[in-house]
This record gives sequence, structure tokens and C-alpha cells, in this order.
Amino acid sequence: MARETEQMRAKALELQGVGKAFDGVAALEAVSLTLEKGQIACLLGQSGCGKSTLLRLIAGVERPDAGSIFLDGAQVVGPSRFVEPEARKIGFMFQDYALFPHLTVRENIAFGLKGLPRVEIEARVGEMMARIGIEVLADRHPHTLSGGEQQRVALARALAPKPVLLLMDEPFSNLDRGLREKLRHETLTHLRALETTTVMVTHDPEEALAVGDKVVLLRAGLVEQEGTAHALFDNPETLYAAEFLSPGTRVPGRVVKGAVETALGRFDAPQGMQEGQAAILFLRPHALSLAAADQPLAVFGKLVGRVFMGDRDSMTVAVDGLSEPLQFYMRGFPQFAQGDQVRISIDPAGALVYPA
Amino acid sequence: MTTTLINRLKPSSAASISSGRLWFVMGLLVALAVMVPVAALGFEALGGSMALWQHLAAYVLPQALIETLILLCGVGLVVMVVGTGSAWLVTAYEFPGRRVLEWALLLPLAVPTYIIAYAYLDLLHPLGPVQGLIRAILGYDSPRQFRLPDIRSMAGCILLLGFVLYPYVYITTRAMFMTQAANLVEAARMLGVSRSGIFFRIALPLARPAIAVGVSLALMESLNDIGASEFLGVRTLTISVYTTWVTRSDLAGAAQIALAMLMIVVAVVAIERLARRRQRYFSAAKQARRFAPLPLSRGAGIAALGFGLVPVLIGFAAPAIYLAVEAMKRIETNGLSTRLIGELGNTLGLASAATLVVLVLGTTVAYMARALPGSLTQLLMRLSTLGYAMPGTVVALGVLIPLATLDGMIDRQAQALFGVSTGLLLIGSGAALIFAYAVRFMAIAAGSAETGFARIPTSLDQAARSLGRNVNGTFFAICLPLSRPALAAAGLLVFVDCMKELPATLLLRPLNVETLATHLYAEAARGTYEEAAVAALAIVLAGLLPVILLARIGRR
Repeated sequence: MARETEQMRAKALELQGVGKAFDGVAALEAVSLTLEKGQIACLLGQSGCGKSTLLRLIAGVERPDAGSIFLDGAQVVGPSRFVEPEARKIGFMFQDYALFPHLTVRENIAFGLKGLPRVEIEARVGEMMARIGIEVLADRHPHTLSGGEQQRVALARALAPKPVLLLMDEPFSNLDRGLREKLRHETLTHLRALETTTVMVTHDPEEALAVGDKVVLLRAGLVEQEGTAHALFDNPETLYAAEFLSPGTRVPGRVVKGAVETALGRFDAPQGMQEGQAAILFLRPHALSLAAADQPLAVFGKLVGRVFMGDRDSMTVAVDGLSEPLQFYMRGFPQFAQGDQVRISIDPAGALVYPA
Repeated sequence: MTTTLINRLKPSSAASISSGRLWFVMGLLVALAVMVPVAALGFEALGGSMALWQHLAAYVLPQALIETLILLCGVGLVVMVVGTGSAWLVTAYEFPGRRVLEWALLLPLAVPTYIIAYAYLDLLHPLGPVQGLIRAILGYDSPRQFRLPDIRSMAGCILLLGFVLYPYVYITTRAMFMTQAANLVEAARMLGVSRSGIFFRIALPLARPAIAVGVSLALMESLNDIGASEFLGVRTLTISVYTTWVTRSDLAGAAQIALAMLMIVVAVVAIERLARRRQRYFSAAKQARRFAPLPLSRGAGIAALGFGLVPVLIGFAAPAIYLAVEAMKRIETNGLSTRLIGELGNTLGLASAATLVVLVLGTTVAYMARALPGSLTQLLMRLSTLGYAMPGTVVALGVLIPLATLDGMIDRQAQALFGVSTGLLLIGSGAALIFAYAVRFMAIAAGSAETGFARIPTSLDQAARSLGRNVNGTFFAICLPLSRPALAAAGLLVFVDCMKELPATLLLRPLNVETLATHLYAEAARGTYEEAAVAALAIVLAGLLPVILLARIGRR
């Protein structure tokens, strides 16, 4: 019993079989997830996959139909238990930042500190503003701030009450590309320094891979795959996961004598596939390159498109027997132009095979 | 069933056991309170004697029903033509004075139906200023030689109501023209439709739902009217309810007629709802670009201005100037009587109390629907705003029946326990009248609060809750401060509507308490013209405040 409690305590967040339906349509089905203290998790998925709903269930602004949620070892949602959002000590950063327009930056940050002595509130607000670097904005109102400044104030406001868990709903999606990466880096630095356990929702795989200690890919209300960023990217368990995390070309094939036979050659079949079963070879751009003449596992194709993209060129190569052309990126090789015959080599480590 | 629903809404943490639930219970009570009058009417009508009902059905109802329907059709036609025409005029054409006309066309809203009737009875009297002027121009010297048709007629009533109620159509239709027409008109012109063809082929079909909404609002006002029809001798259902109750002391009969009237109300509301749904459909392709009006030549411009000024003149300028002149004359010779000042005090006191009640309850209901979203709270919200369509007489009757019973019970209890008679406590204190005002005007407050809240992103509520505020705290820290302008506007509208209200005030005011409106009614009914002009002028001036507000919103 005592050991069990201890184990619970080590986990900052634990979801057990959480489900939610809207008007009879399931938005989430039996989602389970655990998060250690200080970890950053990314919920990744297309819009409508249930990732925002999951965030709102953890925050308590929505009630699940099934399952339990534990925060810092204490149950906040269960069959006969529901802790109101204001009692959960969770910080929430909204996509639109949700800064209170009638309050100044200082008052916004102090909002969650109500009940503390005034001196403590002032000290905490000052400390937060100094850490995030927004002291100069203290007496301004939200509508006078730029998008980046609003994002920083929202972060300071969410972190000021020292939440046990920070939830972020697409926190960088309203920013320009350059600013987005800068603020993402800044935010991560603060979260790491404060050891804040965080769950972030995003639809951008690049962002999820860059931020998350743990990445949870959701599909239609179910967890498709969960793991570290590297595990997820290198070994996507399903074709859906593979296609979501990176673009690529599908090549049809069939299992013959223990290997998948395709128009591009034979590839190792994953365990559990039957002889004669249809399969799909998924080739990501980084598995493909232009080949030197003596390389094995190389196929001939015709360069049907070459687009200069600055730091690299996008190559499109049509191969006999494939309905879709192959796509990959290269630098150099100025001798090849559209219409030329080229040799492509395939890195078998980057070739992913799935049952069709 | 209700308890399980409450339980489902029940939060189980200690921190907010009261906060969310409290709002729900309050909302439920408000909705029930608003439903009380209708339930009471049904109850009373069923308990009435059938003999009386037969008399009513044979002699009173058919005629009143026909007169009411003729009146509604007539008013509907007038407001449709005047409202749509004036809206198109100021939207489609540019001429000197157009911007002034834009807001001036709203002015008749400030004149209640009973006041325009009162003013025109005197203005158009055979010996009055208008007919005198016409005779002087034509060279007659006696009313016997020439007189206009009597204003005290169905036609007169239709015209007068039409010219003060057309702004409802003007407002809705103009909004539609401005937000919708620009792109479509350009598209139509490129497809070869002439400028003049556009009104009938594009603008009018497009504005149909907006016109229907405006007309149904005007019809609700016509149904509510008691003064104008009475002064002008049109025996509508409202008048029948009033006389059956007051003159014949037949409460059950009055309730029966009131129920018949509610049928018409339901039909009018159905038209409104249907039209609003279609309007939403039309508004789906919203375009913010405004309509570019066509500049008119000098002569045509002056003609357009003159044309546009006619409704303003009939519906506002003439009666307002008449009232101002009469009031000045009266004040110069007699000063302001203490009686009138007392009545002003009564009016302001009742209106203030009612405004406070309506604002608090309306805001409560609207916040309940926001904080506890769900079909049940939505339904409660809709139920609490039903009174806006109910004529004042019907509401008054529905309020009087249960409250008179309650008064009797309180009185008997007090006599039994303390040996004191409380008399008619609820009716005598004005509580009954404030209840009636609340039922009738709850929609204004709840609707404004709902719109005000809708402008606040729900993420702000959620942010406040994640930062430790419960449902209550979120209301006071976020929703209330951010919707203050909307609530202030609602307060003004409710206050002025209470000041202007005649039928319910007439029937439910405490004994010997007169307000400005009932004073005017009494004088007009007696045919004496003393201080009523002063009272009427005060009401019209108060009525100008919301019009100014409306004009400012329209310009933004």
C-alpha cells in the first residue's frame, strides 16, 4: 500500500482509460498516459483527433465520461470524484493567450495569486516578470502588446502560481515562423529551469519532435503511438504514424520468401507478416539519394522535376513500375537536369514496411 | 427528473459546491417565475363559468378578434412600406441631409402609441390647428363647410400606429441592406440588372427575413397597445380584456380573452423565429463592405430628403412640437403642480426598482447559460425571456391572479398570528407591478447580457478558473467588468420601457398611485386636456435616450 502511494507520487500526471463523447460521437477512447515530474509531453495529431479535448479534460473545463485522472498522486477525476478546475493548481496557456483585456500585465500575472499576502504577490509577480524579461510591460494593457509579448505575459501568468502542471494549447501557432522558434526555445528554457511538468498540444510534428521528452500521437481519439521523439520518428509503428511524422512515397509490394518484393527491390519484412501478404514500402526523402554507379540497391529512374529551394534541391524521380514518383532532397549534382536518367540508392535502414 | 439534472450539474469539490449550483437554481427560479403568469391565466380561464364564456364567444370575441386582425394587417402593411422604403432611400442614395435622416428616422421610437394618439386627437380635432390651417388656406370659415375624415377610426389608428412603429422594420432592414447588399448588387449590375431593377430583384428578396422580423416586433407592440386603440375607438382584444376585467369584474372572462390573444402572439412569434433563422442563413456569407450610395442630382436630392422626412414629421416632429407647445403653455400659466411632480417621482421610483430587478435577474440567467453550458440551461434562458412578446394586459392579468390569492393568504395569516391586517401587501406595495415589468422586459436584460458575454472569449473564463477562481469569482472578476457597457445599455432600455409602459401599470399600480403614463391615460379617457401634455413630453424626452444610444450604435 505504502509503496503504491510512493509510486503514484513520483508521477506528476496519470491518465487511466479516459474517454469522452460529444453528442454520442466519441472524441477520446480509453486514453492512458503517465508523465514524470519535470517531463515535457507533446500531444500531436490532426485537428479533431481529440488532443485539445484531452487537454481540457486534464484542466477540468470539460468532464470525461469515463476514466480517472491523477495529479501529483491525487485523484482529480474518477467515477465519483470531480475536482473543479480552480482547485487543481494547473496552469493553462491558451492558443489566443486569453489575457484579461481590462487588466494590466502586472494585474494579469497577479490574478492567480489571490489570497496571498500583498507583499508576497508583489514579490512573486516581480520575480516572474524579471525571469521572463517583461518588466517594461508591467503597466501596459494586453491590446497594446505584440503577439510575442502577449505570449510571454501568458507564460508568466500561467507559471506565477507555481502550478503542478502546465498545459499549453498550440502556444506558438499565432506567431510568425522566425519568432515562433525563438519563443519556443525561450519557453523551453524557462520550463526546464523551473522543472515544470508540461503537456503541450500541437499539430506540427516538427514542433512536437523538437519540444517533447515524450510525444503522444493521437488519431481519432485513440493513442496511435507514444514514446520519445527519436523512437517515434525512427520507428513509427504504423503507416499512419510514419506518414504523419514525415512526407514520403508509398510503394506497393508483396511478401515473397520472407522479404517484401517491390518494383524497387527486396526489403526485409517485419515480423508477423505472412507469405503472400500485400505490403506497403514507405520511403522517406532521407532514405533516398542519387547514387554512384557502383552502389548496390540502386534503381534507374528519370528526373521529372528539380526545384531549387535554397539550401537544397527538391528532386522528383519517376521509376518504371511505380505509379507515384519518388521525392527527395539533394545538394549539388549540377550536371543533372529535368529529363535526365539518374540512379537512386535506397538506404534500407530508412525504408519502412507495413502491412497494406 | 429535475433533481437528477441538478445532480449532474453538481460539482463535487468542496471549493465550489455552491457557486455553479447557485446560478442554476437562480436561473431555474427566474424561468419559473416568468412562466407563472401564463400558467395562472390557463388555470383561471378553465375555472371560469361557461355561461360567461358563451356570452364572450358570441358577442365580444368575434368582433374584437376581427378588429384586432384588421388592425394588425393594416399596421403590418404600413410599417412594411414605410420602414423598407425609408431604409432603401438612405442606403441606396446620397443626397444632402442623408446622414441626419439616417438617425432622424429612428425618432418615432421615442413616442409611445398612446401618446401619438393623444397628440393627434387634439392636433386633428375639427377645431384644432391642422384643420384650422387647411380651412384658412381654402377660404372656409366653419368646420361645417369642410372637415377631414375623423381620426377616431380604424384607418386613423392604423396610420398612427404605423408611423410610430415603422422604425422596427427600418432598423432590421437597413442593417440587412448595409451588410449584405453591396457585393450582390455589384454582381447583379454586372449581370445586367438596372439600378432601379435592383430594389425589386435583389434588395427586397434579400431583406425579406429582416422585414418579417421588424414587422413581427411592430405587431407585438400593436397587440400590446391599450391607449391608442381606446382613444381612437378601436375595440381590440386588449381593450376587451381590460373592460371585461375592470368594468364587468369578470376575471375568468378576461383570462379567456387573454388566452385567445396569446394564440395570436404565438403566431407572431413563430413568424419572427422563422424569419430570424432564415436571416442567419442569409448572413452566413457575411461581408463587411458597405454599400456605396448613388449620388442624386440637386432636385432629386431635395425630393428624396422631403420624402424621407415625411415619416419623421408624422411620427415624431408634429406630436413632439405639439406636446412641447402645450406643455409650455400649461407651465407658464399654472406652473408645475405638486401632483405631477409626485407622479414623476412614482414613475422614476417604480422604473428604477424594476430596472434593478430585471438587470440582476437577466444577467444571472445569461451567466448561468454561459457558465453551465447545456441544453437545459439554454431552455431555462429561453423560457425566462418569453415575456417580451406578451401584451402588458395579459402579463398583468397573469400576475394579478396568483398575487391577489397570495395577498389574501398573507393577510389571513397575519390576522391570525398578530391580529393585524396587511391588506394587499404585494399589490399595494407595487411589488406586483415590478414583477409584471420584470416578466415583460426580462428579454432585454438577458439578451443584452448574453450578447455582452458572447463578445468575451470563453478562454478568458477558463483562464480565470485555471488561475483559481470559481464560477462566482470568474463572474465578478471577468464577465461583469467586461460586459459593463452592454449591461448599462440594457439598464437604460429597461428603465425607459418601464417609464413608458401603460397597460400593466394601469392594471397593477397600487391604489391611488399614478404614474406619468396613467395620468395621461386618465385625462385622455376623460377628454380633458390639462397637465397630460407635460407628462407626455416627459415620457417622450426619456424615450429619446435609447434612440440616441441606438443611433450611436448604428453609426459604429
